[in-house]
Amino acid sequence: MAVLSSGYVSTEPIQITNPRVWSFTAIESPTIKVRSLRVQQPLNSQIVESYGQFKPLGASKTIVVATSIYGIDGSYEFTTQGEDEWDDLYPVLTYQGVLHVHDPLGRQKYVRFVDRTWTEIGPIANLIRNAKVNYFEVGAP
Amino acid sequence: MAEYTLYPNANWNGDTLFTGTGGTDYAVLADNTDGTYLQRTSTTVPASYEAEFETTTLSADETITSINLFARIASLAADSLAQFSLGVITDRNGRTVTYGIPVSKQGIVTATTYDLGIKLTSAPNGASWTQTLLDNLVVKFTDGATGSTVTPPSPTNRTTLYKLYAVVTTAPRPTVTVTAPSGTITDTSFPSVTWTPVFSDGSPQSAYEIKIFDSTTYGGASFSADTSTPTIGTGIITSTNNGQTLEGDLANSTTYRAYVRVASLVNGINYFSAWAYSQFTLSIDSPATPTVSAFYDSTTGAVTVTIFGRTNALSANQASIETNTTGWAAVTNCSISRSTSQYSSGTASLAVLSGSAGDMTASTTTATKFAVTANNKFSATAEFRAGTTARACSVGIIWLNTSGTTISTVFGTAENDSSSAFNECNVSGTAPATATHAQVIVKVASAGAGETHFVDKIAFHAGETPFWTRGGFQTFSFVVERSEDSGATYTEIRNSPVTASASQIATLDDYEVPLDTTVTYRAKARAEI
Repeated sequence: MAVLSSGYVSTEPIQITNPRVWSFTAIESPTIKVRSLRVQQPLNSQIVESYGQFKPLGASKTIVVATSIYGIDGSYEFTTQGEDEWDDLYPVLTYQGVLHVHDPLGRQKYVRFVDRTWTEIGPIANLIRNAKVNYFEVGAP
Repeated sequence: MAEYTLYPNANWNGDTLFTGTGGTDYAVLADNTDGTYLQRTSTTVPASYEAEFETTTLSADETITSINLFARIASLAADSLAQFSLGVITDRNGRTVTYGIPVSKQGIVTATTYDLGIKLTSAPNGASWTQTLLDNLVVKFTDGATGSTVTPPSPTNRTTLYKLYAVVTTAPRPTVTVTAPSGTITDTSFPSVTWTPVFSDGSPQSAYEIKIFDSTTYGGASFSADTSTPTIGTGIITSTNNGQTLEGDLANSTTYRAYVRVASLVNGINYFSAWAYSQFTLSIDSPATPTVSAFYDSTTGAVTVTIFGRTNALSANQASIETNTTGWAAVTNCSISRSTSQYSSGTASLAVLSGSAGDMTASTTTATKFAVTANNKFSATAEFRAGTTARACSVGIIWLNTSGTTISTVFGTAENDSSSAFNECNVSGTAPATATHAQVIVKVASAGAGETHFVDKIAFHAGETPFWTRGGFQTFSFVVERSEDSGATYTEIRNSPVTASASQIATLDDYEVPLDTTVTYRAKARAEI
């Protein structure tokens, strides 16, 4: 069997207007996704650097030796109201893989949720849940 | 393997501390007689004499594997000490020399030629040997005798140096002949590149590299196989293989050159041959260019890219009737046969002979029905030619449900054929909601009794733009790429290549599309034959 290829054909150029919503998609299993959910501010972010600090005897200043600097890690706080919103979020919240994130500014990154906690408040028929997840920024799968 | 012997041919330093008997300091070391020699006359020890070597011009097809040093010496005292080291001049005007680790000879020896075992596989400055470094080769001889008898006129513990020479060993450059692909490639867009390497010193192949350049690139004024951007490049592959099937596919109707170079190891480093190439042209009956569309689905937050393959679903024989009428059946008022009297592709066509006056139809068989996807567009095409009398001809699609029952039949616009040329007829239609398969049907309206019409170049495929390609392809997939720079560069999107359905339709959702950025998608079909 020989493999043959055709020529290329292109689409017209298209531009996707930023819908300015949060979007979380399990990129390798895209049925697991949630869009337009409420993400509370402020967003907590940090960048971790791998380093060692040395305070040599007799020296007046500390010496820092660094290797890698990593991505923007942090945490998200989601708010859902009612069971439908929670049911949309829950598979994403508990997904053990890489999630693709579009934020309202149109930025993209890949994250891995590692810790999840949430609180429930309100009438049982219309529970308001505040879920907090810690994440690490990871590379594209 | 070649060897070159180099003798000192100039003083570099320290010549006033030594005396050559029978000639200049360097000249006495370059002959084969013990009647001429070099001895220290300085009362200061250690004392060093440095000399430059004559050089040799290496060909472009060899590289230095090592440089060794030999010395013929004699000494009378146990406390005599001679040291030798090879060096390279790294700054001639600044008179800077980098020497390697010295080798010592100590004690009483009668005149003996020593292989000093230096054998430098790289220059003393750490660089690989080059012609320039060879041209700047120097040697240092140090008389390091100690003790009370160092004073001239006849110190007994000094070393007599009769002869000094370096032996340069080189390895031959590998050569390679690219044996394939060559000529016209008609059966694949992933050709295999093969070559025959020659390692005259018997070394095994350690690595190879392939670069494929199209004619525009290799025909360019500034083309260099080393630096020009190839259509496909393997990078350096550590392997003893003498062939590789390319992993990227090449464009049809294009002439390429496959450049190959091979290497063997010299001192642990790949020593490559010059680039050799084989030229070839791709001329294949390739799959049809698909159609592609993309739209943003705000519900999913992804761009959905839909690709319709337009490659003929018929077998090669059904499409052009080159062998027989297998895959075709007479349906109404006709008999069918293969005819070589008229053809539009190949050397034969389908001859449809009417039994009596009236419409006649023939179709592909139900056993060879083609998969379709409900509610999607499909197209068929066929070319007609009249044996004698022009009639209204058309091509149609019979929609079948899952049990093989005809749901409906759609014909394209009827057009009169001609006895002087083939005339193309087309049809496009949407598969009904319950359709799973289809057949192609050809129709000649109001034929006279015993009238023959010829049909050729018949095709059926997904999409709404009828297109003929040779049949017989299978295992379809689509490569889908996205450009964010107005088509200058493209990158395959996730899950590409995507396997097509049996009806040659595929969709991919691109969740990673950048927002507020103009993007373009492109696709191509791949198929096996």
